[in-house]
Amino acid sequence: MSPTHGAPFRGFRDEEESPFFCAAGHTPEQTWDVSIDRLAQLLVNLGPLADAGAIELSPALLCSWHRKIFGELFPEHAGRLRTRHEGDWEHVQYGAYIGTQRSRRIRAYRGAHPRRLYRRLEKTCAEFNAAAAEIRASPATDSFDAVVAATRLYAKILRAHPFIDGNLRASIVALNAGLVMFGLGIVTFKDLERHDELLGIAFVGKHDPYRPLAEHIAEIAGATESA
Amino acid sequence: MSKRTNSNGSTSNGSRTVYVVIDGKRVPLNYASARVVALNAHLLAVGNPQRTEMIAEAERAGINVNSISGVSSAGTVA
Repeated sequence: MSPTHGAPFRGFRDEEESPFFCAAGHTPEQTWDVSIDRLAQLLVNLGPLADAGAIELSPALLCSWHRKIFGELFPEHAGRLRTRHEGDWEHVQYGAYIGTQRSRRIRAYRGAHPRRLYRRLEKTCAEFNAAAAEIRASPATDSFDAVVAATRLYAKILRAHPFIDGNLRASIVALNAGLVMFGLGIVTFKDLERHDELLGIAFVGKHDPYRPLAEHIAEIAGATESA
Repeated sequence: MSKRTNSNGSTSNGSRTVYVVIDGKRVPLNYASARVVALNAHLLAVGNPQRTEMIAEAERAGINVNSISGVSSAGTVA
């Protein structure tokens, strides 16, 4: 049976419902420990990767990051975009906060249709690459432009939810790659609720919806900017 | 041999150092600090049954978990 999620899906936290909850031959604890280890190794390699030249984002690169994080644990699903699997489209639903702090509720989103997923990711990556090229070419742009480009990339990948699971972990690599290639530091989100709230705005906002999250990331990344 | 710092933070005779801020401290990104970032990504994605163990690891890694608001509630994105 394909891992299609009909009900609002809140990911890894949903215990056995989550496709990547527990890998064969591993306990759940070992599963997340291995994926943390692989993700950490990827992050460490972002610096040398950026040193080797401009990082060109592509669906294939994103899939390769996902494969590196989850390949040992879930070889069948790691690094592959959601598709038609055993006769069913692999749809995924997930939740994100909307509303103010008082009226906050979780809205269920559906990831991009698998049929349109590759093209959508291609467009998102191309948009980032174009923005990055423009930033590199212009001496006048400041680091906030780079943060906005990386933020858009991050939020759009998450909105599309290209994989059956592990989307945030793969997107974190994309976000940090976008920052590192402009000499900014890796970011950690200490205020998890704030992150979720701003991501929710990025998903639904109509006027410059990425800006609040970009400002938050800039605040973090600014503190880590290379001297 | 002298080093020249380029606009992107790299040096002419070495690779750029990537930094991360952990609990207010700016530290070079090595495996240990990258693991903290990776753990953070899990905390964002996860409100899972392993949260207790994850918090314990966060504390071992030097993160002040009390300062992470939202750690007691589930995140929202897988």
